[in-house]
Amino acid sequence: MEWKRKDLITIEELTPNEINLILDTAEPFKEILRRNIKKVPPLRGRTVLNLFFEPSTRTSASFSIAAKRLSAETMSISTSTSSVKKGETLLDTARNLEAMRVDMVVMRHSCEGAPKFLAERIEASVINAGDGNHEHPTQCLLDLSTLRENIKSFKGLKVLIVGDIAHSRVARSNIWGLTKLGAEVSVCAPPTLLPQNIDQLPVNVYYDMDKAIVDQDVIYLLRIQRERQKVGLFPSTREYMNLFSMDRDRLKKTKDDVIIMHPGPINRGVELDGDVADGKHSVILNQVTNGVAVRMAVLYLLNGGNKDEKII
Amino acid sequence: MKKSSKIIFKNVNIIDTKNKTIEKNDILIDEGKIIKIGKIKAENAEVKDCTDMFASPGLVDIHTHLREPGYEYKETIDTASRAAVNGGFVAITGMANTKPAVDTAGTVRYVLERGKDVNLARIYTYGAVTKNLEGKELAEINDLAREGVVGLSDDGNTIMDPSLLLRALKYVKMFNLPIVLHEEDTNISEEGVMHEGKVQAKLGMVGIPDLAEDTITYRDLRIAEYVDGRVHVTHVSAKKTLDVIRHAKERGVKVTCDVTPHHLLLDDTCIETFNTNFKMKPPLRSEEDRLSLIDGIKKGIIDIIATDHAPHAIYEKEVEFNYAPFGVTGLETAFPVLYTKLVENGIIDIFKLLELMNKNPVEIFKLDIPKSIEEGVDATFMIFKNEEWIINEAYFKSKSRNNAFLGEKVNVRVIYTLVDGELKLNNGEIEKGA
Repeated sequence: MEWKRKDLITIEELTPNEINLILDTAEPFKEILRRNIKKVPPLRGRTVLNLFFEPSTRTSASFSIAAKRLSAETMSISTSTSSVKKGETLLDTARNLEAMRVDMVVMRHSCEGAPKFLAERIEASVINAGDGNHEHPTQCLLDLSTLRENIKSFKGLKVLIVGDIAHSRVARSNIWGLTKLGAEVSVCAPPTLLPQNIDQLPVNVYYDMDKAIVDQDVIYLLRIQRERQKVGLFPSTREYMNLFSMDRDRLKKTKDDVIIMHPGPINRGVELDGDVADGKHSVILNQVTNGVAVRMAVLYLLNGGNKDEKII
Repeated sequence: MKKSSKIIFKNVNIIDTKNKTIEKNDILIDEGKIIKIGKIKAENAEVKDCTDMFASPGLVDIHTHLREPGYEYKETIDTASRAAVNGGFVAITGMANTKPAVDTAGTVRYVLERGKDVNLARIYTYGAVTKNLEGKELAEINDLAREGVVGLSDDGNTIMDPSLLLRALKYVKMFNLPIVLHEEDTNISEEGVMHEGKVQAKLGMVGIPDLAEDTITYRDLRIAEYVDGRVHVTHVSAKKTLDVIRHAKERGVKVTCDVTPHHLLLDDTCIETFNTNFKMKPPLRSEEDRLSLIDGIKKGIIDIIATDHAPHAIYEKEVEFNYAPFGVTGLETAFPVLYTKLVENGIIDIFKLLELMNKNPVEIFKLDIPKSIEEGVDATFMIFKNEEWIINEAYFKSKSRNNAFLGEKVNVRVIYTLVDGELKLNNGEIEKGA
């Protein structure tokens, strides 16, 4: 199959075939990343702009590296250096980018829908690198790519996502991505960190972590934002840890071959014990490596690349 | 008073709201009145051929944001009046949330006099319940009443302090004015931007639960019941709120309510587009809520359809969804969309629609606007015809374009709007200084 979309905005709108196309395309890039010379030519002469309206280290770096490996020219603009602080609207920003003939824009924004807003107004391809609490498609794709290395099939795979589901774009993208490929997704969180209408999403809901973890193939911990405690969504970090932290004791209750994942950055000792994060069940650093390969695949496909083409 | 010239509207289908019939006839108007209805021989008069057109009592809006004084870049009393007559409205009622707020005799006088100067639709206004709409101290309501406000409202701001509402409702009893309530418990709605429901669970935006509306409505209707005060709940959006109002009406509480065209016709799935022309307060709710509102107008629990015409500059609306101001325009689209979606689809008949957009608002707010087309009454009415067209920006006379029905195909167009015998909209064009 061929990639037809101009932009990558959500996982929700993708078909399973489109998801698999990206994952398949990422495989040769993983191999390239293991070489001594990691650069290939597909995006030669192309300009990829990282437009980050929210602070980010790893996603921004991962996209930059991915674009550079594909020989694109890259540029990064973050809120502190952009004209956003001078009161320019997103629409004006879009028009200016258009005028500069940028080919692709990787965008992160605290407002849900902002990448779609941009995509509808410029000819360049737009990649959503996280929009508010809505979606973070490349995070989901790198998670799926990492899982593929460690499992036989997504069909019937049991995945538990633990933490602040209500405010998590990672959770939303992963719920769509995993269920589209046939996995059975559960979430576990205090009710204050779940969307009011969680029953409308294709997931099982648990409040009791000790029950939830028992027969899961994958346990995916989300970063807990300390601001949530400040607005009273849970009483204290201590209480949260008692109820939802993935620590050594809880690890004993899981399947022997359970896979532990986290989108980073980790609050060590809060949602995830340091030993568990670094232990044999963890694939957290593989997620980071695969992030580059998957983002290369996305950039490559949006640029009109074909997975069967020889990349060199 | 300038005397208008004689006009004959020939062969027009006259909607008789009293007898619920439609009959083809001619209408002769002169000196601001309907002189004769019948077969009229051309006398010394301008003749308008109205074959295939319908004459209807003029529409009345009881919830318009005029934006003047203070926000003239969004709308002025002039442009709001143009929008009104373009949409078949002969009277509109300004909300008090201008800058300065309509909380003194001077501001009331300013708004009403500007309305007379513009001389298109009839302009009415509310006065503020509290000084500067702050919800702290009562405004000098006697002054406002004396200047002719038709009700009191802090619209946009809920009166969150129940003891203040209690005092306000008691105090205004001596002026016999209703208090119009925007029901939103801001402790619940907080930073919400859309209905908390199925779509919101997917989009991740901060939600506004229906709970923010129905719980405070219950509180306020109990207060109204306690002091035997008169309240009008504006822009009801949720099924649960309607239940609360229905129960209160059954208990004999003096409560009336309205709904907007957008809450009757659209639901929260619109937000999936992130189009800010679907961002308003209260938010578009679920399909179930929408259907309950339709049921509410059919059963007479809802008394009025009001537009909540809320103009905003294009640059204010063409931003990220979270950053856009709440509100959409409505005066120019209300009748075309409601007629097309409700009357033509057989959900309600034209007589019911006119009860909601003319008779009930006129009676509840005691406005001096005719409720029928008959000999001897003021020549204040509108004429529309069936015509298929698509709502587009060029059609708008409002200063703003933030409308939720842009691109919608409709089957009716307003051709003439008359106020006191003067053509204000003449074949789709505004008549100024006629």
